[in-house]
Amino acid sequence: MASLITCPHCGTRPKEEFAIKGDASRTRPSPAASAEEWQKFVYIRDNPKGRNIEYWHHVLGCRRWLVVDRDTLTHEVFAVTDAAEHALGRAEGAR
Amino acid sequence: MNGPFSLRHPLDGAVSAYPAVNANHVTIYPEPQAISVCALQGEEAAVAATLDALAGDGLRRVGPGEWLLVKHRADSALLSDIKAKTGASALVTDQSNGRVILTIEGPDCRAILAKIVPVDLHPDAYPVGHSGNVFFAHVSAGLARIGTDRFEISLMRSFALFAFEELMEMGLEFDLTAGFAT
Amino acid sequence: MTGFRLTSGGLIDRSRPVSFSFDGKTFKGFEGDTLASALIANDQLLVGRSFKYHRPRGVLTAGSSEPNALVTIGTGPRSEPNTRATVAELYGGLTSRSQNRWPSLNVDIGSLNSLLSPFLGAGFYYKTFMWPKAFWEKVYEPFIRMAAGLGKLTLERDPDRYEKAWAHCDLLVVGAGPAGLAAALKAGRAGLRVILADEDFQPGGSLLSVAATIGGTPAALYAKTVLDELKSLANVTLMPRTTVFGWYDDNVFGAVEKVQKHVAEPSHAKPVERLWRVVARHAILATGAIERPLVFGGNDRPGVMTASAVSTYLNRYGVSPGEKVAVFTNGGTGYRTARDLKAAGIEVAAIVDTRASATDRAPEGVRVMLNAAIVDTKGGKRIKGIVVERAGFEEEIECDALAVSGGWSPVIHLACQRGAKPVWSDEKQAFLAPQSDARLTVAGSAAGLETLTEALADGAAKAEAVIAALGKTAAAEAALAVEDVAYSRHQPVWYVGGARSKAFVDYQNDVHVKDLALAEREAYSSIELSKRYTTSGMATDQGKIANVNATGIIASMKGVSPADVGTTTFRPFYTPVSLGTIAGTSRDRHGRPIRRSPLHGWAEKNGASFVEAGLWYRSSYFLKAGEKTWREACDREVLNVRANAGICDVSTLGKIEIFGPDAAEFLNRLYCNPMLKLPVGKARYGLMLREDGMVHDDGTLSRLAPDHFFMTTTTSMAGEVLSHMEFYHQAYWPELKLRFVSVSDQWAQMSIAGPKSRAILQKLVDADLSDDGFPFLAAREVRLKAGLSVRLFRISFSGELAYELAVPASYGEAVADLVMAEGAEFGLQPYGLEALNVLRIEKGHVTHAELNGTVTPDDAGFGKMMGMSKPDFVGKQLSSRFGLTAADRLQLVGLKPLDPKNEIRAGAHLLKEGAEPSMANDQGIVTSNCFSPVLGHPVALALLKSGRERIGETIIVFDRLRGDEFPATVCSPVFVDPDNLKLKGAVDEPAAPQRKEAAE
Repeated sequence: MASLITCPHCGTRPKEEFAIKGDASRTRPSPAASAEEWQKFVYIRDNPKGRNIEYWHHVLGCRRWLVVDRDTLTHEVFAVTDAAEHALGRAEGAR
Repeated sequence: MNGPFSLRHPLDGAVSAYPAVNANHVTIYPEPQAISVCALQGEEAAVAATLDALAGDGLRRVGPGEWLLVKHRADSALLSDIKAKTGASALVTDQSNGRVILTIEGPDCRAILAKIVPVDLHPDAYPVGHSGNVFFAHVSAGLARIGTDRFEISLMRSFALFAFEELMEMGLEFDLTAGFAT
Repeated sequence: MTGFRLTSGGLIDRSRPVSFSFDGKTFKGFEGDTLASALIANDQLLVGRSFKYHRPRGVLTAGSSEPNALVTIGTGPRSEPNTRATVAELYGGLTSRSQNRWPSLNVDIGSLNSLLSPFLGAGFYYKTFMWPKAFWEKVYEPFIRMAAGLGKLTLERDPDRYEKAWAHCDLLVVGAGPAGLAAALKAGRAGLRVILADEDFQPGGSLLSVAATIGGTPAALYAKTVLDELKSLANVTLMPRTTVFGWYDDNVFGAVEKVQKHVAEPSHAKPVERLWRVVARHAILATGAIERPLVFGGNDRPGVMTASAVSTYLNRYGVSPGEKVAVFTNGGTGYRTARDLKAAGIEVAAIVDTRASATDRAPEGVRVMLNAAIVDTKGGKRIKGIVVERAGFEEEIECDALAVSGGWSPVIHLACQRGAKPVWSDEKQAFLAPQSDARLTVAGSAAGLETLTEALADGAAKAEAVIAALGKTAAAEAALAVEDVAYSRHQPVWYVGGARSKAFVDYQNDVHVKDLALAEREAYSSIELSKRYTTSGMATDQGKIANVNATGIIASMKGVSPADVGTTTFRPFYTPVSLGTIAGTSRDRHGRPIRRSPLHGWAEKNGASFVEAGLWYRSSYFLKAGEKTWREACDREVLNVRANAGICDVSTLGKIEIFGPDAAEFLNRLYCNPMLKLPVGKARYGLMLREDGMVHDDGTLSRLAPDHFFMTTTTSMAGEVLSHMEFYHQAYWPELKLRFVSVSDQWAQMSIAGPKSRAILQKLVDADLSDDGFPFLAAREVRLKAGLSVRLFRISFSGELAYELAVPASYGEAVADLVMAEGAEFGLQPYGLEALNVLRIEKGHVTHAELNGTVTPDDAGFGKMMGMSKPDFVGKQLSSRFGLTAADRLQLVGLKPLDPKNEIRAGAHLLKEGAEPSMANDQGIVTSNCFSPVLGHPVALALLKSGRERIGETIIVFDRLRGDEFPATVCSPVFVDPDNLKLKGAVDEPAAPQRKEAAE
C-alpha cells in the first residue's frame, strides 16, 4: 500500500514519491584510486538484511537526494538526511 | 508586447463540459506568472528575504533554497525585477508557460484532493500558507493551501490535461465544476 | 421443516420490503437483510455446490468468514462471482445465481465426484495426472477446471468506476463491535482524529445479535446511541461497508469501501468501490472472533450452521433456519443460542454437549445430552436429523437445522500480516496476536476476551493508552452495567470421533479429516505443507473457518500442542478485493499518465497520427490526401526535408538550465567530452557516460552566458538525466556552487530542417542568419519580427542545414503556424517521428536504439570526443579498462542489402558467410533500419564486431524468428552527404532528388 519516508524538507510522504538507488555507504573514489577500488565502487553490492543507509530520491517532491537510515527487514526508519548534508558531513568527518 | 500571437492553453476545450460554477469549483488562470528561483549555496537566506519582499502571498516552497513564485495574472515586470535583485545569487527561470495554475475551492475540496494527493490536508497538518510539491494523480504538482477551503495547484504543462481530467473525475460525486478565470 | 421469518424482532426494516432473485426465482426480503438472511427466510438453505465433490452446501455463517454461500451477484458486465451471500447487502432488484453446478443446483452431475471420492483425496491431482506430460495442459487441466471450481468471471467490460483515496488519522479503529465502539467513543470524546471502519453495512458487530443490555438499554439500541454520538463529532469519521484488509509498513492500512455495491444501478458520479490507504498514528484492532464449527461426520449438510450465526439470524434479521433446531457444542455459547431459539419460540431438539459436565443452564424444557457426540447427519439437500452417540448407544434425533459451536478464534489476521507469529494460548484455546508494534493494539474478543463487559472495558482502556501516548487526556467515565448471561469456556474437541461420513475441515476446498491424515502419513504435516498438499485454508476464505481446526487436528494426530503446529502465514488481503478496486482510475486511456507536447494542437490540425513514446504522444507522420500508408507519408516528408525544408516538433526533448560559478566545472565532469571552453553563444554535442563507461545519454549543451547553460537531453532519458545530475551534485560534489532546474515544459521546440530552412527563418527572425552572423552551432536568444523573444540553435539531427527554435510553450502553436505560413512558398512541410528517424539513420546519427547501455563512445564512433586529459569525469576511470578497449568490440556500421528487395530488420543478428548460426559465431546485431527514400533501398545501422575494419565485407543478416537470411554489405554508417556539405550550408540548393515527384 505505502511505506512512508519523512523527508527533511517536505514532511512525511509515501514511497510512491521516491525512487531508490540503494547503498549510500559507498563514496566515489578519487580519480587516482586503483582500478580495484573503482571496480568495487561500480559493481560490488551487498544486499544487507537489517539496518543500512540508502539513497532515496524525492522525485515527485523537492527532488532532493536523501540518505535514509533504515532497516530493510522491518522498514523501521532511523534517520533521513539530505544527501548534500550527508556528503559535506562525511567530508568534514574525514578531515 | 509579444506580437500578434494567440496563446494556446493546454486545458483549452477541456472545460466545456462544466458550464456552471458550483460550490466546489476549479478556476484555471489563463495567463499566470510562475517563476522558479533556485538560490546558490550560501545565498538561500538573502534570496528568501528578497523574494519575501517581492512575492507577496505568492511564494511557494519547492525544496531547500528553491521556490516557485506564483501570480494568478501575468506580471512580466516581476520576472525582470527578481532577476535584477537576485543577480548572480540565484537561477531564475520563467515557468509561466511551463506550469498550469489552478485553484480548487469549496466545502468538499479536501475530500476531492484526498483522492489525488497522499498528504494529510487537515488544517493542523497543512495550514493556510503551507505549500510544497506532492504526488498528484501519479505526477508531481505544487500544492498550496491558500484558504480554509481553497488550494492552489501548479501542474506541469505536459501533464496538465491528464491530471485535470483525474481531478474532475474525482470531483464527480461533489458536482465539481471548472472554468477559466475571467 | 422450513427456514422462515419470525413475525417480529430483528433490525430489518419491515416497512421496506424488497424483491430479489436467486437462480431465476423471485423472493422477498427486507431492507437490512443480507442475501443470506433473506434466502433463509425463504427456506432456501441450499445455496451452492462444493468445490470438488459437488456436495450440496448451505449457509454456514452470518459473516465474512463464510466458506459455502458463494454466489454470483449481478448480470452481464456487472456479474460478480464468489460473492459471500452472508455479507451481501440486500437491495431491490438484486439478481443472484448459485455456482459450480450443472445443469442446476438441485440436479448436479458433478456430484458423481462424491462417489469417486475415495480416489479424489489430498494430492490426487499431483499423483494422478502426472503422465503423459503433454496431457496436463490439453486434457487434464481443462477437465479439472470445468469440474472443480468457483464462479465464472464475466469477460465483459466493467462499466463502473473505481477510486482510490488517502485518509489520515490519530487512531484507526477496525471493527465497530463493542470494543471498537468503546474505543472510538473514548478517543472521539478526547478530541482525537478517529476513523472507525467496519465491514458491515450496519456497524455494531455482536451488539446487533446478542440479547444483553448495556446500562439498561438493549445492546443494539446502545450501539445506535454510540454511533449517533460518534456521527455528531467532527473529529470522528465513520466508515461502514469498509473492510480493512491489510496492515502495511508505517502503520498504513489498506481498506476497501463498498460505496455502491448495494444498489442495482450505480450512479456514475460515484465509484462502486473505493480503495483507502489509511495512514494511522495508532490503530486498535477490534475485529472480534469467529466461531469454529465442530468437525464431525456429515457436518456439511445444508442446515448446519455455527451457533452464533443462528443467533445472529434470529436476533438481527428475525429469521430462523428451522422450526426444530438442534445444538451441538463443546462450550457455553451453544447454550446461548439455545436460549435465543427458545426466546424466539423455536423448538430446540436437543443440546448435544461433548463435555462430561456443564455449568451452563439450558432453557427450560430443553433436553441436554452430556458426554455425547454427533457422528452423522441425515437428509439430502438439507438436514433432517442427527445421529447422536453417547456411552456406546446411538440415537437418531429429528431436526431441520443444527447449530454448532466449537469454540472461538480471535480475528488476529491484520496484526500478524507483518511477520508476527500468532501465539497459542492454552487458557483461551486460541491463537492470539503478540504485540509486535507499539502503534497497533488488539482489543476485545480479538484479544481473546470472552464477555461483553470485558470487551467494552478493554476497548476504552486501549483507547485511553493511545490518548495518553498522543499527550491528550481522556475524560473519566464510569463503566456502564452490562446485563448478560455468563457462559463457560469451550473444551477443545478438534475432531469428533466415530464419524460415519465425511467430516469436513475446510468446506470451501472440500478438505476432510482423512485428507489431513493422509498428508500427515505422507510427511506433509508441517502446517504450511499440509495447506499446499490438501488445499485446506486456500481460496477465497483463506481458512478463516478451517485453519484453527486443521491445526488442532494435525496437533492431535502428532500428539503435540497446537502451539507446536502453529498457523500458516497471514497475508493481505483479509477478504477478497476486486481487481477493479486495485486498478482504480488506472485503466484504459488513464492506465498511465499522458504527456502532451505544447505543439499537440498544431500537429493535430496538420493531420498528424500520434504514437506513444514513453508517456508522450508524439506526432508520427502527417498523411496527405492520396496517401494510404505511413511509409508514403514518411518518404515524402524525408525527401521534402532533403530538398526543401520540414518542421518537426521536438518539444519532448529534456531541457535543463544550469547556473552558477561552478556550472562549467560541473558540466565538464558530467560529459565525457570537454565543456569548460565552450564559447558563449555556442552549442556542442555531448555524451554523458555512466560510471561503467557506457553511454548514458547524448544531447546538446549551449552556453548562454559564462555561468549559464542550457542543456537538451533525449526525450526518453530526460527524467533520468535530471536525476543523474541531481545525484552527482548533491551526493558527490555538493561543494560545487551551482543550481539547475528543468525547463522542459516551459519551451515549445521545433526543428526547421532542410536547405531552405535559413531562407524561411530569415523572414521571421530579426537577426542575421548568414553563416557569419549565425554559424553552425550558434545558440542564442533572438527576436521574432512579430515581437517575441525566442531561443535559436543551429543544430541538426537530419544532417541538413537546420535550426531548432524554442519559444515559450503557450506561443508554440502560433509560432509554428507562422513558420508554416512563411515557409509555404519554400515547400515547408511538417514531418514526424518516422521521417525524423529515417533522416537520422541516413546520416548515421545514433539514438537509444544504438546507445543501448552496452555501447561506449568509441563503439558509437565518438572515441575522439573523449576528454581523457580531463582530471575526472563520470565514466572516465572505467573507460580505459581492457574490456572496453578490446579490438573486437561491437562498433557502429551501416548495412546495405545486396538485393535491395531485402529489408534488414532491427533485431537481426549478423553472421560471417558460411558460418553456422550460433552464439559463438554471432558477429553483432542490427539496431535500426529503414527504407531510405534518398537511396531508394533499405539501409540499416548495426553494431558489428571490429566493424570499422570491415567496411566492404559481405555479411549475413540472420533472423530465425522472422525467417530472414540474406547477404548485406558493411558500409559507413553515414549514407547521405558524408562530407557534411549540406549541414554546413555549403549546398544551399538541394541535390537532385531521387524521386522528383515526391519533392514537390
